[in-house]
Amino acid sequence: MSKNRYWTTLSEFDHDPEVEKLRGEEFLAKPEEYFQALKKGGLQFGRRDFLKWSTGALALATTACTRKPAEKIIPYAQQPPELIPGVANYYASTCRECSAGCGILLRTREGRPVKVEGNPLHPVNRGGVCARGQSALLNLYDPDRLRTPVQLQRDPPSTAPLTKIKGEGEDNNYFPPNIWDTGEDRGLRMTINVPLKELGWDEADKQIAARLKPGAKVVLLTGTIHGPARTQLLSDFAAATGAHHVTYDGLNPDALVAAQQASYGTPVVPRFFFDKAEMIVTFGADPLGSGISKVEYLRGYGELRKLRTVDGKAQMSRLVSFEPAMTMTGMNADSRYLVQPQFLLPVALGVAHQIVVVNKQSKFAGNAQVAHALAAFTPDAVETAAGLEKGTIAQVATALWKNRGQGLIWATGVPGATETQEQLEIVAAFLNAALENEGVTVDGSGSVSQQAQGSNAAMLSLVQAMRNKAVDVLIVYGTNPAFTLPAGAGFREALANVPYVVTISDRLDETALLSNVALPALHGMESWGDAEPQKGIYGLVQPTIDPLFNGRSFEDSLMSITRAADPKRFMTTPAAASKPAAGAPPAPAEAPKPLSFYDYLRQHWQNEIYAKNNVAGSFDDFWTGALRQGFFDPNAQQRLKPGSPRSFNAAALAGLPGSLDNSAASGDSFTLVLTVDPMIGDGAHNNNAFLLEIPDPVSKIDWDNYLSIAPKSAKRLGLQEGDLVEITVGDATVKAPLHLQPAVHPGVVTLGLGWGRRAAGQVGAGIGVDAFPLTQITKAGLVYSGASVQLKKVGSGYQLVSPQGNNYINYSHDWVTPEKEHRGEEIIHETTLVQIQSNPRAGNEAALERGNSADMWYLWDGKHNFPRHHWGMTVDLNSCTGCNACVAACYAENNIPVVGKDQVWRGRSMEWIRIDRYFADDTENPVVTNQPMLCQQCGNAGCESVCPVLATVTNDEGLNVQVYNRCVGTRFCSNNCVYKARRFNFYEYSRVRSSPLELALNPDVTVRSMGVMEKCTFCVQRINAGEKRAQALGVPVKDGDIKTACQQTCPSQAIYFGDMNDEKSAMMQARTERSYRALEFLNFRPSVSYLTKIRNVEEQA
Amino acid sequence: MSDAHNSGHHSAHANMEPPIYRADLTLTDVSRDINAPIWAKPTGWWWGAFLTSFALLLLGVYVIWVQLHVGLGILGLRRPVMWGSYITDFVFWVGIGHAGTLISAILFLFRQRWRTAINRSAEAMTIFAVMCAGLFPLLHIGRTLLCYWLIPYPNQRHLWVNFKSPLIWDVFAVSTYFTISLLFWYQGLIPDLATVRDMETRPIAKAIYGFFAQKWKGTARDWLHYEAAYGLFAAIATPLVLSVHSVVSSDFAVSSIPGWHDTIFPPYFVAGAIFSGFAMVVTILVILRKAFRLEEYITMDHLEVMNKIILATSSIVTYSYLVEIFMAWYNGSPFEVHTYIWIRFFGPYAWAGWTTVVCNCILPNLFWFKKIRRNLFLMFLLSITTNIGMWFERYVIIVTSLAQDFLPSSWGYFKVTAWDLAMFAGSVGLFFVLFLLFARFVPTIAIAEVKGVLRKPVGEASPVLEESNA
Repeated sequence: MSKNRYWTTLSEFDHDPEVEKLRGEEFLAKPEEYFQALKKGGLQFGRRDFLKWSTGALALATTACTRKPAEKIIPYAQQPPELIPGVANYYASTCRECSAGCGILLRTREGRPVKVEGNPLHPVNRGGVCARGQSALLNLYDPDRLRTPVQLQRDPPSTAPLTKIKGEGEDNNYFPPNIWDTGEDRGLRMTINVPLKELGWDEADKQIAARLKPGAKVVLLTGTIHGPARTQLLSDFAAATGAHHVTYDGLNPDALVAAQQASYGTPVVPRFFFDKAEMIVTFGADPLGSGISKVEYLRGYGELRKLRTVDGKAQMSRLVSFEPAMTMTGMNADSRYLVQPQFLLPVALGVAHQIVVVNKQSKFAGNAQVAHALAAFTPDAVETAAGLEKGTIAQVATALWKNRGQGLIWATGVPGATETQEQLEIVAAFLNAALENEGVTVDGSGSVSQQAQGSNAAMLSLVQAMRNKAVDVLIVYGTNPAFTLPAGAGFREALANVPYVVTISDRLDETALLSNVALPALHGMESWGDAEPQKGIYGLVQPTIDPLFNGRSFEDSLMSITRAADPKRFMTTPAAASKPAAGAPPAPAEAPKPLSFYDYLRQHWQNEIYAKNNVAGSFDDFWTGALRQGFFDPNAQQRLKPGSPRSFNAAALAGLPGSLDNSAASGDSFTLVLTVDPMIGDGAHNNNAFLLEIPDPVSKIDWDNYLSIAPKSAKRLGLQEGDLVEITVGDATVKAPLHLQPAVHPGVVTLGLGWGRRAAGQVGAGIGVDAFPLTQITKAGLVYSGASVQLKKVGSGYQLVSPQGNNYINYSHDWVTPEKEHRGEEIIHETTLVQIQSNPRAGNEAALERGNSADMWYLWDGKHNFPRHHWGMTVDLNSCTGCNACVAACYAENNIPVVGKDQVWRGRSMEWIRIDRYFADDTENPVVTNQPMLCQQCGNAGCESVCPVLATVTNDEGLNVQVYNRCVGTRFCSNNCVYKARRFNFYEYSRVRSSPLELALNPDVTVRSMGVMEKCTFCVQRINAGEKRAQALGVPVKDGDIKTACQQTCPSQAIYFGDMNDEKSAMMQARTERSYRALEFLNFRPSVSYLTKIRNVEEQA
Repeated sequence: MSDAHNSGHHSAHANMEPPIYRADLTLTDVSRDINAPIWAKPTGWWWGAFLTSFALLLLGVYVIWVQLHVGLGILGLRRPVMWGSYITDFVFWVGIGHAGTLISAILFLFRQRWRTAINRSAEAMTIFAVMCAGLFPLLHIGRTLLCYWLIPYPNQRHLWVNFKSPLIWDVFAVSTYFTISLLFWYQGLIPDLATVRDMETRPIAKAIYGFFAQKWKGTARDWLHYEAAYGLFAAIATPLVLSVHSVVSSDFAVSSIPGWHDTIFPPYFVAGAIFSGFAMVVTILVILRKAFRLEEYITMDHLEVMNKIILATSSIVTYSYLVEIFMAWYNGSPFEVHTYIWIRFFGPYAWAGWTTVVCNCILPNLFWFKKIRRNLFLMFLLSITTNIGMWFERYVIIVTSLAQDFLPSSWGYFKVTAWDLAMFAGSVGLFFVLFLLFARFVPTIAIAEVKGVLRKPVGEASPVLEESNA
């Protein structure tokens, strides 16, 4: 016991225990209670104890909660100079969703792409991107992608059943557990479970290389591949392995190429100049919906649809469609004629007959060979057989002749792909030649298209070779023949004869499931590549994100496999050893290293593109410039003009039928027409939720395909919407729900291709029915249309869903009022070209007479002045085609959740911009108007005054802003919105994104939670970014600096956005006398105005 | 009622009015009869009704729990019908809540002596109905837990509410109405609670009743204050009867949707509310008088008068429908014709429209016949159909107007789901649980007031005073 150094008393000095004890007590003299308590058995819990305990409890209470474990964010030790957190970077690249090769700008944030924008400089798409391109991010971040090389058992997938797997939220009984609801299997996602073994890349390479022995018959089967370096790689691969390359896509222009060969001697897919075509006539084709270079066509078409003044007269192009069922093109046609597919050829011949024989026009007039070929097809006879009104053909022919040299005949399409498709293409080529369009709107000799190189014929002969055991190794990439070929082609059986199959694919698709090894391919946004969509225009693909999974690009895989087989291939050439310095030992020659595709690409561009185009400056400068621009267009001026016209070989007409077969489908048999869905195409991206949720432009139905039939025919057969109907073509039987679709020929039923994937992924598997089995194989190749079918009802009550429910203005449905109420006039203004030529106010007179709504009563007079900007939008209904690109762009830009079939059926789709499609006139062949409808950013906004918590208010730039944080979800705003532009989060929709899909979210836009209202904001985040940019530069915001997502992507340039304070802005300039506002009489003062729709039809005098 | 009061105002008329109650009823009889259920063992039917209601209430609680966890998506709500059954239920219950105050306040001010037998239960009904009504606006908003944001309270974020929005008016109107109704009801209860307290023998119950009786002694001073306060509450409550449903009607009338945008709404809604409220009172009284053997106090005359009011308000409601339809046609707006005439009577919602018309406009006309007015079974049936009709009236107004408004592209058909129905059932459960508890534990008839009108007051000592002093 230590002694205290300082002490006061002796007892303290001695540590007297008595004193020590006393010192610990509170009172020297005890209170009375103390003794009482002692008497009762002792004081258990004194005041001091209480204080001790409570102090202890306080200490425990404060220490009981541990801090949230620290998660340290490590900043860039050295920040890449181009990367500022929170600021987006744009990289130019080329879209790889289809083979059209459009230029895109990828908006990236913190190293991940978050949005696709069109590249305005790119000569193919000129700034537009289609819905599929806009949805590309969902393919990149698709959770169902193949993540690593796998070895499969080559089970035929017909034995591998679709199984249900757990969906998120399944533990919760009340949440619709799976918003990708198929309707039939509620609540569970579908996938295929197959046994597989993961492989390492080296292991996979070795295994494949072992099969590439010299003498092995190797076939490389790919979808269309273009691009100088990529094609060079294919030939290098072929040279190294002796591989034979076959190109096959889901849908191929065989007939077009064959017809070009017969007509002009050149087997090409021409480039079409829709921007020069004042009169377009299509025969069973859908260039705007599913054309080979759709965005380019839409852009050109949109340009000529704008009203312009030519020689003091209002002018616009004209579109005429002959088709069996309404396609997107037919929906936009000024004149649309319903023709069964087997009569498309006679009608085309009738038009030719009228021009050449009857009117004796064109250079073929008097040509005996031509006259002979056309003899049987007098317009009269053709009209009678095809059921057209008398005089139709003469009318079209006259108009075509008037527009000679600036017209375009188009016949490349699946709906018209009957057995006579090739002849139809020949007639189209003939008409183009006769009308002097060849070499003006059709370019078959200059910069021809390379966007569709696939060939059914080549594929079928490959199948034959496989069947004959003439293929030892099959390497498949970018195509899915096990899905797109009909069973009759015998692909699966033939594949069984191929000892070794390798699939390089982004997912375990139908073909990959049949292979020995499946290698994951990279998405276009993860890999290097190039493109040459049309001869002479070179695009570059650059990666914007590291590969998400253990993937490898197709090109690198090819190189790696080859290298594994032959280690000398695809290695760096060692640089010549530099001269050693005097006295120093000679530097050892650098060992050759494996070449990456990036090196290969650069080398190829250096040696071929750079060297051969006499570019000034160093290659590095050239390369950087090309990457920055996204493409290299050495002959930009040349490419504006088509190549020289080719001369038509009249002998091509010899193969045409000599007589008119007028056997139409009669009685209860229908002609089957397969169609291509403008959203999902051949089904390659069927796991993409955007593309499934955004409705079909014509039927407005989503999450399904269906058998379309004319309402009249259905009535005659006693069939109803939603009946399950069975149809049989050859050996294939397909059961599909029935949809009553106006504008279908009464003798025709149609079914969309690309649906019914079994192995697409959790979203797309089992959605819709597969129509490819209905394709027939004849000596004319693959035939999609023209089969005669009977409908057999096998069930009913299938629910087809549409976000645009009962949308009939002049079309009366059973329980919807016969509209005699002139409702349409308040929503859509339309007129004809002839009328607007004499009266620029035509169609809009009533609205203009009613006076400017700016003079009407204004809720905020003097209170809201918008001194800086007052944002507004003008939509040209004339150039809007209803292609849905804006809808997809809006989904991607604004983090709009996909809600699934079940929720769409419940009327809860979340789109901020929608395309309202209205039919007018009769039900058999109605005309269509598309109206993009979005929040109109009203001045007297109905939503604002009724919101109890001021969650929606007008800001000082005229935007009607929605404050998500403040919203409590009374939904009064939506009720009071006459445009129904508001969307409500009925569930926590954002919760159901599976990882890594959340990477696709745009960080500039809030993800909305349950119970909150949301709507279009005119992309307020883009407006703010644009204003900040201008502020940083110290300049005012210029017109065109800020573009909304919908405007940016619109392929036909129908959307103008700008400042209403600036009279000179393009948007205000577009507001001519055609400008009107929807439901203007209600005086909501919308900031969106529409331009009267003009139909270029022949006026009946 | 105080002697002075009654004799001062009623002596002139009292002789001309037929007596309301049996002549030989004594004051003790009244206290005993009316309070009998408090001490009687609950009967089997009471337990049956209570447990059924309680089960429904639990169902409602379950719906609320699920809805708060999962989301409003469980309901039938959809674009464009963003208000569906919940708002229908809200307006329905608020409407029911009108009769009580009307009976107790307005009839009091008009010195309708017959009201004494029914005002207590009608007021209770009002309070419970408003409680049920109050549930729905809270539940129907997307973020229920943030409902307090609708109250203007100072906060550090400087957020304020939008006084232009009728929903804010609703918050004030309904909460004021509830507060006033509750206070009014409670004040009227005080003398009766004192009676129960005095008759009660169980100490705990005595203490509780005593607490709520607020040391009521029945002195002249007590009565003086009581009467003054009662009159004041009646005066305050009277305009509320008119204002609450006018405000509720503004939820619709202020909007721009055809079918909602309508200046006739305030009076039309008030008439409808009284119509449905009285029907509900009849429904309840028919059961109550039978169950608790109160035929002596809730007489056939009472019921007949109620039925006359139902008939009168039915006519007003019918007239309003006709005016709506006529104005829709007369103003020439195609959108209004579509909503008011087509959708409701010939279109997709014709079933609901015709249900409304049959129940509200046609069936009540049977009350023109005295025999039917005094037939318990038929009046019960008609009161039920009236309430069904009034529920559908609100459904028709809310749902059909929204389902097909201006842009046909956005039209959609609203269907109620099982969850919608379950929540309504839950509110019915809540209502009856409260009402059954009320019938067991609180005097269902205003004892003091009945005593006040028991005899012709002229020249007699106040029976109430006698009793209180006893």
